Amino acid sequence: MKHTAHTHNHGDAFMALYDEYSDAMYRFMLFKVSDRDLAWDLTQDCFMKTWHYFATKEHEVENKKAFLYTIARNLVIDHWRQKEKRATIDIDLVAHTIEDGNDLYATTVLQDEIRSLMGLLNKLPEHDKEILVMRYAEELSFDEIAKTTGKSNVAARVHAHRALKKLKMIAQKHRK
Amino acid sequence: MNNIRKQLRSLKHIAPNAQKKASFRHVLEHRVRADMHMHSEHIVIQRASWTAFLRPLFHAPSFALAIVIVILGSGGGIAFASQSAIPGTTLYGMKLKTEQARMTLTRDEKKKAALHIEFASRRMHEIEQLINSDINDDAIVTETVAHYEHELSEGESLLKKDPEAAYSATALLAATESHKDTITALKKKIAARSHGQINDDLDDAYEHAESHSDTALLTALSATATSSNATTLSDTVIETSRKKIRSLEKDIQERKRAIENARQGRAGDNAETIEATTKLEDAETIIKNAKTRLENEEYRESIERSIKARALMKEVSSLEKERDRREKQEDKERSDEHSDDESAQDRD
Repeated sequence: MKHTAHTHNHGDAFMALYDEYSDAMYRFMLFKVSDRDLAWDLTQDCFMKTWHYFATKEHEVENKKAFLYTIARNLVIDHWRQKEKRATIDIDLVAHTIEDGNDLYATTVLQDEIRSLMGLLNKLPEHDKEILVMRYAEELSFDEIAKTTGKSNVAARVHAHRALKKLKMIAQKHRK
Repeated sequence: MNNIRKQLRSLKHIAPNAQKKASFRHVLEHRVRADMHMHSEHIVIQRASWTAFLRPLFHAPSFALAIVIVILGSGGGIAFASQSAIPGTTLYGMKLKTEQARMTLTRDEKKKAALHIEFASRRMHEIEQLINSDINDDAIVTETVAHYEHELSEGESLLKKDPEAAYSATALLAATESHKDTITALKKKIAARSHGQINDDLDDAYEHAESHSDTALLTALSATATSSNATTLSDTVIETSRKKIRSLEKDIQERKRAIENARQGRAGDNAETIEATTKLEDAETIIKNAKTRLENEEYRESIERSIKARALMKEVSSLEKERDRREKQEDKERSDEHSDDESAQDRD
């Protein structure tokens, strides 16, 4: 472990980062690998790797949220590379992974809503699904998406708009 | 379009299991604190005031006194400057001597164990610095790895003497787990540089870190019964066990693919490949069992099975090395025969 002057201050800030983004990272992983345990394992790896980076690098990471998504993306890519195949999203599994605190009726409504949305999202290519989740579910800014995906801000904006349009068309066809 | 956006926002209700999230928070926090502790120790040493050297003098046995006097006599400024020296440099010997003095002056066994863990982390940091500096002297890395392994072994032997050593066990666990990450990153880095000897040294260091991490894990598990911090300890044990199982599963899959490639690359099966495949299958069964045991909260049994699976993986690795060595030998013999034939033809 390389020791830097920032390490001490980073400790508390890093734990706050975990509290704020662990749910989002888990969702991101779950949409990618469609396996609850694996998604949680990858989420843990993501935070361990991020901490290792923060503790060993001299320079400050400007946008920590975008940085987390970049690490998460790379972990999923590594995972896919090892598995040599991608899992399709199990709609029921995702629909049943909702947070505690809702009453039974609300939970059922929410599950139905998520189930139907996941069915539509599954019809989109992976990169479209990814950008929609990042932009509209996780509310990342276009700058953050650009940093995570390596695109320009404008390209990310155009991509999100097109993906949303595609999703809307799929939804309309589905209703008919 | 707005309805779709609203629907997409509903995905935010998907969340991980709250208990798992809280458990991992404990583990992560422990790791962060352990790294910060190591960092503050490092800063204390780097900014060592004279009182740090003088304080223990009043209680020191004569041998330790002599060492401290030698250090002071040889120039305190040098001792101070040596703390950031890396192996192979002039001041490095002084750095080791000051560490030796600190160890001699420490009587409390728990503090001694903590010092050994701290020094092991220093050695790991030095190995990292040596490799990052592109040094060409493999012998220096080998020597530093030997020092690293020595510090870990010493720390572990002190830990074994104290069955309630919860703090030392978790410190050793956090340190060795962190060292494993560092070694993995270093191995990736040198892969392109084809440093055979350094690669072997790093494998050796990793194996040591893993083995000491297992001991620390079992000690931490025993300490959960008596420790006031049982919940954190138990979370640490569970999460580390999960991590170890996952890493073994990954390793098994990678080895399986490598063996399959080797089968396709070389004509048919050979004795090593067949044996390695059998051992891999055994390791896979054992690790599945370890996973089930962990889910059933049979932690010790789970850890013991992980250790057994890892031992099998080590045997697989030896078989692979043996196969590579034999194939190289065969290639060499074939090439020698070919040159002999050519020489004979030339003579004719």
